[in-house]
Amino acid sequence: MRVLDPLGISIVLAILLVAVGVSAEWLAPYDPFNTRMFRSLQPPNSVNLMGTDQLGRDIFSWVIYGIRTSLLVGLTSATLSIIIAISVGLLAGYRGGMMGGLLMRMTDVFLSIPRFMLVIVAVVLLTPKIVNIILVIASFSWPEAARVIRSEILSIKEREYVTAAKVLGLRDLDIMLSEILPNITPTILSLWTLVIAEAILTEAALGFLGFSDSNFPSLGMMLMMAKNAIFVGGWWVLLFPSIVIIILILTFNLLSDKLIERFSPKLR
Amino acid sequence: MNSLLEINGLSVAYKIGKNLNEVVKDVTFSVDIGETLAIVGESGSGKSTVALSIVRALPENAIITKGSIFFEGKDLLKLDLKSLRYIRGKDISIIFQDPLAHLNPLRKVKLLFKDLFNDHGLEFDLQRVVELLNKLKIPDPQRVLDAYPYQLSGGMAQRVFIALALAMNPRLLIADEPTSALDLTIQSQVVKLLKEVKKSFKVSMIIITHDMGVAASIADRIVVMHNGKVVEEGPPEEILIQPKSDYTKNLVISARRLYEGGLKWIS
Amino acid sequence: MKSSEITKTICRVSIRILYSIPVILSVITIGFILLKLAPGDPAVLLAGEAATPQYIENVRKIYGLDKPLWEQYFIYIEKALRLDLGYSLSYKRPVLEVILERFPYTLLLAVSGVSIGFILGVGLGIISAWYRKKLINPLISNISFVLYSTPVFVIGQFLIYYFAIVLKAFPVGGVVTIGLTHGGFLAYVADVLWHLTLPSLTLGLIFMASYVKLTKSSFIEVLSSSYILASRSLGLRNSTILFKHAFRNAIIPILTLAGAQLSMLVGGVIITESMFSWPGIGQLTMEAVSTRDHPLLLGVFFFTSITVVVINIVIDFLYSVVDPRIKERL
Repeated sequence: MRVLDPLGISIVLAILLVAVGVSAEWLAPYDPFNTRMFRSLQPPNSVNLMGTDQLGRDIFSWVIYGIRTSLLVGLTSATLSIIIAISVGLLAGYRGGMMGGLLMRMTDVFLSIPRFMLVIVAVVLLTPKIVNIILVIASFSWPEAARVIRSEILSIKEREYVTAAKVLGLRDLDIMLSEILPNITPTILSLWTLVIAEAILTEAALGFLGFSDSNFPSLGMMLMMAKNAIFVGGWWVLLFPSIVIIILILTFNLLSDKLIERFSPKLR
Repeated sequence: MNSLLEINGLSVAYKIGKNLNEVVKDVTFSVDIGETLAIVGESGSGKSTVALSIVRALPENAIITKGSIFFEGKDLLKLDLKSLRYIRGKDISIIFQDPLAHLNPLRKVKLLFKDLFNDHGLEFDLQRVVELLNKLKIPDPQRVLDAYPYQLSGGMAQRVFIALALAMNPRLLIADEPTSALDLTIQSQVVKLLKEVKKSFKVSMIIITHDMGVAASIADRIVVMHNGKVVEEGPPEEILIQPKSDYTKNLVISARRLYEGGLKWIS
Repeated sequence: MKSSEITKTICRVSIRILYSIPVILSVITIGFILLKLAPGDPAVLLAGEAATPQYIENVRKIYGLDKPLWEQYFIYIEKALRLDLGYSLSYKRPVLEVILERFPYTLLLAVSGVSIGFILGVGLGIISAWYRKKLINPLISNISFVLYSTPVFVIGQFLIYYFAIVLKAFPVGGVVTIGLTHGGFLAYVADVLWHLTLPSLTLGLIFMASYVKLTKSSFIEVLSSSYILASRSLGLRNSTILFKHAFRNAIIPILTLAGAQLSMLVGGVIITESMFSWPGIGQLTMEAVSTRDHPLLLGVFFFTSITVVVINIVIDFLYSVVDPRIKERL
């Protein structure tokens, strides 16, 4: 029963996807980069389960490695981003005052700047290496998360058990760790998964525009191939990577949604 | 048969989770033409539910399980929603507790009246509305009409709402706890206002209240409710001087205002 | 509007503009930082790799790249504020000129896309809220959730594949059919609209998804409020209640969403224009990247940011029109 509800499904899916990403070497039948022109644009068949692209690359292998790349970028940048967001949010929310105000002005600025364009400009100027991509995505997604965390903390701060702890003379750090952190955990988890979804999307978008790291197969890049492939009937080049990317993003969006649903009402 | 409204064997239940909670149990009473009836009881006695059932302004989880409500010969409970809409606001009006919450903060007062007129098939008559506002002692009606409800005070909002309720000359006006959300000084003003409404508009009224004093000041007849059932009925003098049940006695004792006739009660 | 209301509104807008100054400064600063962080000589970046050493030296002087960092920063700011966005390497024209030429196309696409998304999204949201118990509800919710998780380039490509390639009903790209002589203005407009259909639908579907959920919950909340109950008990018609009473109150959080989504819109526009070869600013961005035209790239970035800021101010103004209570607060 519990596995069938949306939260359970999304958790299972996420774990499955990570498993695929981790074991890419064993799951993929071919080297994704291997171009064999005599097998170019083959529809799905027994040799190439998802067909091949214009350069003869096996799409199935590409997709499997693509999952790995998406998750690599997604998980790393999201984790980095959330860590920064928690630190900043905690500081701004708990200590408040000028620091808080300043930080909020900063995030306001970030929110007014067209983020994706900034990401493109940054990735282009810094060259599209996987490390840069991860860092750029992380740097531009933490402000919004920090803002949410801060407002959460602001509302928790006013609650009785925090006041009680203060009266008892506990150190600020202790209060932060023992009282506040457990209560913002659902929010953090939900934000983390949301940022993962966003990061996966951004990585794919960069790939689609041609800004992926050529050493890492990107689902977006295969969709860029699809742009031309569909004109000569190569619908499989579009279909399979699309389905996979939708599943990736949907899983984490769902996870984020359901985490908030499940855990928030209880704690409020 | 001077009955304007006849409620027979009304039973209403609320669905909470999987349980059906009966809130009104087999209630029967009637209201005559030109009469002002007060339904008095503590919170949870079902008095509001009875009143709301008349125009079916009940929340979604409320189910009318039994009974009939006859208004001018028609059973309101059997009417479809479309016909019910014609009756609401025109033949039977209801005013609520907390008037500010019941007025759309973002819609000018004048437009509220316009909507009312238009939706009942009438042309908006500014004159009539201004006269109405004057009758209800609303100062500077033009300015009020041009204002937004969020700019009005609690007492003013209550008057505006009463004006809306009376604009179509309904035969029956239901007032659900008209004094409860307001502070004491305004409460007596509203009581006075309702008395004037009783005098100048030829409308029958049902006043729902937990305050026996308010009921005694305005009503021609009082119905006492407890736990979903009618416990006592009668004119104010009877109820106040010789309350038949202990429950009624308690209500009388806790009343904040004395019956204006100056009658004392026996404790 | 009364004069006091006008004064208050002017005050609000002015404060908003004041708040925008740090934003603009930050945008300029970020551009500057990125330029400094980029590997290679900034002078070469700005002059282009094919430039002569003489030209590079000139650029170095103009941008003060031989001066200390602080001075460079101020020169940069000064140029930006004067809207001197530099000289495009690939177009051999002032950057601002090139941008302004392409901007109307992007505007057309963006406005159509957002309108479609708004109308569809709010419409479906209202239906979801009004017919809460009916079966259509989970259907709408699930479809819009999937749409929400679908990238722009996936939706666009599917649309192209089905409507342009399989059905051949719509063009694959561009803004007008090349080589077609248009018999008059109307024919021209029709041609543009025909080309506009798929790209704006792509953008629209993406936006629709985020609006549906918010509209639904906002309307459900408003429809269950006391004043709506009161209007029902006064015998008002359903259409009056929905459109004259509930709408204004429920639309407020949706306006907030619109403002916050501008950033996403830019991203969507870049990708959509790239997919459909739509000659707007998005495509210009991609061109600037592929031709390593850094002045153009930075110029587009700056221009877009300012546009977003301005639109935010406009939305804020719209707020006070919709909700007069806002005028009281600041």
